[in-house]
Amino acid sequence: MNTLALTPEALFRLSQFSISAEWFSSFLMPRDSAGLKRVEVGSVTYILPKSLDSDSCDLVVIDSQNVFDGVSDTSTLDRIATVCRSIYSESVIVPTTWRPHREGSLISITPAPGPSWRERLHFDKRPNGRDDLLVFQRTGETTNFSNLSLPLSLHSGARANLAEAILTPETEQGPTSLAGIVLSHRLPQGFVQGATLSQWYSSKLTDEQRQFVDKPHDGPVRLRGSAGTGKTLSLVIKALLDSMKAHANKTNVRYGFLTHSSASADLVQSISESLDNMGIMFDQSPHAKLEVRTLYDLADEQLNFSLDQLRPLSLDGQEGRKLQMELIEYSLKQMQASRTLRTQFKELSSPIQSRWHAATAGQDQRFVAEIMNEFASVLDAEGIRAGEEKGLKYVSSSSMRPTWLLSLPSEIDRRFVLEVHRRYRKLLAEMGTLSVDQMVGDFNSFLDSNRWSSIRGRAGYDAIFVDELHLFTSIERQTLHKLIKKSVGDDGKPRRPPIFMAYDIKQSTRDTFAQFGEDSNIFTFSSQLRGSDLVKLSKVFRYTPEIAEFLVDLDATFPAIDIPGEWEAYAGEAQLARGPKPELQVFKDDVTLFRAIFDEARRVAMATEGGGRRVAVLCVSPEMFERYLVALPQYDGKVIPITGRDITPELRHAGRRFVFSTPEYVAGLQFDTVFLIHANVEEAPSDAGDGVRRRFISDVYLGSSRAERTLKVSASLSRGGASDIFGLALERSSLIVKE
Amino acid sequence: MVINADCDLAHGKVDGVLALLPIFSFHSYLEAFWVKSHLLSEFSQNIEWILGACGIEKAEAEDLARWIESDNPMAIASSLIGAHAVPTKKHAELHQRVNKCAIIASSQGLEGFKRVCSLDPDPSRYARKHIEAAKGAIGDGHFFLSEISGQEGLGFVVRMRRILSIEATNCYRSVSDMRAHAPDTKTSAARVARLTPTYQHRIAQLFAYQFSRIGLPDETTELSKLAVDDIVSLMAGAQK
Repeated sequence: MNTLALTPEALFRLSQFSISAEWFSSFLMPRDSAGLKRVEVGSVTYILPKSLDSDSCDLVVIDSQNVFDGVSDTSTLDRIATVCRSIYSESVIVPTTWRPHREGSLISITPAPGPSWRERLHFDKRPNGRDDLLVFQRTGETTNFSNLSLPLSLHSGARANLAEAILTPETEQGPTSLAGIVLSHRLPQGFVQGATLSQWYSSKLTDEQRQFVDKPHDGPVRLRGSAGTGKTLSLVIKALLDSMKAHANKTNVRYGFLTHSSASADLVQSISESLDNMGIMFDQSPHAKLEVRTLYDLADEQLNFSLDQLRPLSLDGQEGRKLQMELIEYSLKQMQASRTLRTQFKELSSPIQSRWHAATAGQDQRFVAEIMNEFASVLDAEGIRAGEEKGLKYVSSSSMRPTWLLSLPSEIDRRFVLEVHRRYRKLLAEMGTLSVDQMVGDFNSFLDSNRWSSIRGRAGYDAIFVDELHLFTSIERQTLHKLIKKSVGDDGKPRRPPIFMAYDIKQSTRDTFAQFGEDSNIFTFSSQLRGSDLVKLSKVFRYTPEIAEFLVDLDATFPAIDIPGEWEAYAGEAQLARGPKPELQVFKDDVTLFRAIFDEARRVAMATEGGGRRVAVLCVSPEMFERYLVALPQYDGKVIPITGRDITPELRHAGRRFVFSTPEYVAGLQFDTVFLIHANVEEAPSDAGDGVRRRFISDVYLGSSRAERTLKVSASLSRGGASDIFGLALERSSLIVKE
Repeated sequence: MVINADCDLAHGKVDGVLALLPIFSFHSYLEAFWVKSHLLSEFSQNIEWILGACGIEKAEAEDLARWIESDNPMAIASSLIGAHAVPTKKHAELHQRVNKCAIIASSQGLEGFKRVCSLDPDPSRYARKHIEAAKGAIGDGHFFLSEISGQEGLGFVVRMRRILSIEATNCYRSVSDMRAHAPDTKTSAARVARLTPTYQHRIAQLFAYQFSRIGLPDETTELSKLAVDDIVSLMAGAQK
């Protein structure tokens, strides 16, 4: 088969299937194929909705021989679907990380994740002058578009035979028809499909969730609940229902759904598409538009970094984090080598002084990590720079720092951190890199510009739905209200921004929710989100009562945290059937742990319904995560590593491969079985600061709450054995020791 | 200063615009073109001296400069003396130099220069020495006028590196003429003085030279250095 032709609708439906490499040889469809049919006319394979009765529809034509390379076909198909979505609906845009390039009607992107972005896949969105999409020619290197030969005859051939394909009954398929493609009721991220939107609203939502969904658009509303209480689902249902109401009332609205990571955006998109029976997500409504974006997508859309050949570096992806650690360590070493700076910082408070020495000798990685957290949570989040007014304020501030931040008791300590930060930023600038926080800072300034004021009426949103607000930094939170179109109420006063936010601070593995300064409210005045309505969710649907019980005991070990009204005891009330008790196993060393857990995860992945994507090994030690990543080739083809929040996990096509990641990178996803590894004493000894402890417990909490049925915690004796945070859970037997 | 030829002006051969060179008062000239680099060089020399006194490598000049910019000079000097083996006889001078650097770092322009002068035991001698040096080093492309009749103050500098222009219709023979006829919305000019013929010719010559200079390649100038070295070694040999 040379050519594959589909309608956009068929392609979107197809992208919900779990597809393996074999499928690409003949594009067969299973019998129960979600209303799709497969027919062959000439050398073209058509996959069309069974209900299609007119050839005036749009058509996606794929030159399959020159597009699929037999190595990363499923990823390529997913990317084609995303490009298609970005063209035929406004619900998504092509992520910046795919390095899209556009000239006239031609587009190119990187066809699959991998080390080289120079590999390109090409699209023409006006083949033969029609609003179709022609996907053609995959090249190993970037190439001038003028050198490409457009296979327009493939498109005209597929177009010419479309009417015949529509009229041709479905080809009868043999027993091989299931080869390589499965439609699952459960989305790869864990969401179970089946119920319609109205069924969800009328009979499946709890009273609390319904109370949130019914909230009017007259001001900001917060939705707070522990992990697994259905925050994301409630937000999606509200966004869809509100869009449908607007459509029914013929009110023109543009709603935005903002997430923190590409993985979450993918999850929201998938849930929305499975619930959206009106085609809101496919631009079928002339009145209501719902766009799912990350904040970085929005920033890139408006500021167009790609035009300046700038590639923002995500500092919370694994690669970025490693680079950040190296740069901080290098700065600390440089400073230690300077006699002048040693004299300048001679009076540092003694713990900082000794940790500086230790970190320089490579013996205190945690200090480097804590400085990194200070950068992310305070300096970069608040736009504090050495030599600027905010920097002076930071240095001279006499107010008590929250206990969960790095302890910097004297002015010279804060001056020291600011100097490390200055050097680190200089190194970043010398590398010609723009960090994500710098990008968000520019975006925040752009939203204050006259240019945005004049386009805000059409480019802004009527309402915004924000998932995982706890992962947004202070500056990111400040941008939210500026994205809303300005409107005036009946009383002549400006309306309060309708922003619907879901969050759970305890799931924040960093201190980004923190507000530096005297006021510890998570919202600054400038965010315009103070005094928002609050809806609390208490019923837990994701995991078993046993896991809920364990989380209650884990919750009791959180150090107290001074954020008024936000830090409440865990109140999850599990609604699922009973399951096995969470287990704790201590291995004698790192290698034994690696082998035992990875082998078991592989076995479980083979045996679990839904495959490996339902099984995750989550590492709470950043150091060990990095080491194990190096060792992963031993499990080649059996593991999907997820190493950053900008990486859209291709879980749909995981097959029997299980997931290896950290809790942070899989926030928002859920699994049947979770192996939480390296919950060692060494990660957060009892004498470590509140901040280190809190972040570690949040990591464990976040990782554990990803498990729906089985949770297995492990630690390594060579790293101090199991952390003392499990003490209460062990005493109360909500966590049992496995010998 | 209008630089079109008198005959061109008389016959209106100026394409509607007059070409002119800016004239700065000596004070403004120092402020705009001299004091910044002077203070920077003072700053660097002092930093270098302080590092030398402390036995620290010159590569750390930026670290020390940044420290001085952000902290109390007395405390910095004391810390340096406490941490490094600075000879006792240099302590007072080190304090002074750190203080001088701190003043330079915290002030700008001639005001900064004035503050630096005040640190010298004889401020007037210090100021004279450097201002005279500045005048002496005024260089190609500049011309010093001691006075312009009818203008306040003494000392003006004609700077020839930039040629500006103004619409001829907005230029007037006298200030009163300009006040009576110039539109508010446009930049206008009026003649306030005229150069004597000697000055006219001198400036015309310098101006022509400024825009007709041709630089030589570096290799050529390097060769001339070799010629000097050659004679030097010859002379040194003769001494023996």
